[in-house]
Amino acid sequence: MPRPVSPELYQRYGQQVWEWTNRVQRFVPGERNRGLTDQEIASRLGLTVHEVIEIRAIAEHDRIPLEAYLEAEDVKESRFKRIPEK
Amino acid sequence: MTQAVATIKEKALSLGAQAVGIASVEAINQYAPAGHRPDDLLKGARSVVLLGGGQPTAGAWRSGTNRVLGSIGYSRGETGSAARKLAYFIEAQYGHYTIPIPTGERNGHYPYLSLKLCAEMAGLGTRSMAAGIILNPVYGLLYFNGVITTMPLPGDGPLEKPVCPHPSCVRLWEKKQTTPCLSACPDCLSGELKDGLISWMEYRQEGCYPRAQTAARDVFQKLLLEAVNEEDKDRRKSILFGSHFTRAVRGIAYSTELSAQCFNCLKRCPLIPRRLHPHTPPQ
Repeated sequence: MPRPVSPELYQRYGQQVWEWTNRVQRFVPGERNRGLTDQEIASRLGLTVHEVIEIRAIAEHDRIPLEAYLEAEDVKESRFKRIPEK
Repeated sequence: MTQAVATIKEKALSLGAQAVGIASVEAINQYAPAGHRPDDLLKGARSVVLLGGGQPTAGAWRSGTNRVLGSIGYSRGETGSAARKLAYFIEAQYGHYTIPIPTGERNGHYPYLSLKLCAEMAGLGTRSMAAGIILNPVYGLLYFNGVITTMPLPGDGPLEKPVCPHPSCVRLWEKKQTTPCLSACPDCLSGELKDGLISWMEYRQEGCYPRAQTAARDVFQKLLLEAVNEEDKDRRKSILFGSHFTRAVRGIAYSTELSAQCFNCLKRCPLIPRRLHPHTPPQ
């Protein structure tokens, strides 16, 4: 079982790890765009892969507020019924 | 080899796949980063057989509510089950090692390997303006799973002609600089068409995730933390007995609505067939 990272380590690197992940996916035909893997982030920050995985897993929760989940059903239903552009 | 390819594809279709394609590991590895390659999961892997299926029925698109479409409109289990059976078949029939592609996420939101990339390389579709979701020229949306094998097989893809955008989307773009998917979900998507093709597309996962996974694992953890941190016992009760947490618990217990998808970006996509196919009449 992997050990949790310290709050201090998460505080220090959480934002940077989050920014380098695959959270924004850009597609341009003919180009190669992707977020970084845990190994690549670890190499850049001088952390272990395990530390990056743990930091990323927490950041993925922290950066998406609970409200976004609780509001999702209403947003989806209202958009589902919206009249499309023509 | 041609006979083996035909036999494997026929078997995949007989097991429930709607579409099947083959990608070489060499082609996938040109794009996949180390740690997310087929041969990271199976040493000596040479090919990936991709199975597509489990998409919403034509009727599901007409269900009228997003929750019904998201809850029962599709199945990820079918292709996973077919892939496992196909893996056994290839080992028994051809004497090459196989593993089904592990489903789900490896750590956090990262998968073992990109099924999108594998499907592209297997010629099962191309990236769309709708979050880069792979759209198939016949079926539109498909869910993917597959088999990684040490068996060398000729790859099928990628397709030469992009499936997206549909001509009607090109016309809409020329008139209003938008497409049905972009206008449906501006929080998650942005992009541009140019000369009738995708110029660029950007997908923001943090906008999509709570809508695609509304009642799944992450919200279970978040509500549980909320309840643990809540000092007032009546408020704590309302969190834990409330409908959203109950839905998340039910999802985990019974595998229902674990991935209650959003579908709004594809709801009006003209590449999704919503009429019954003449060749597959309902029985």
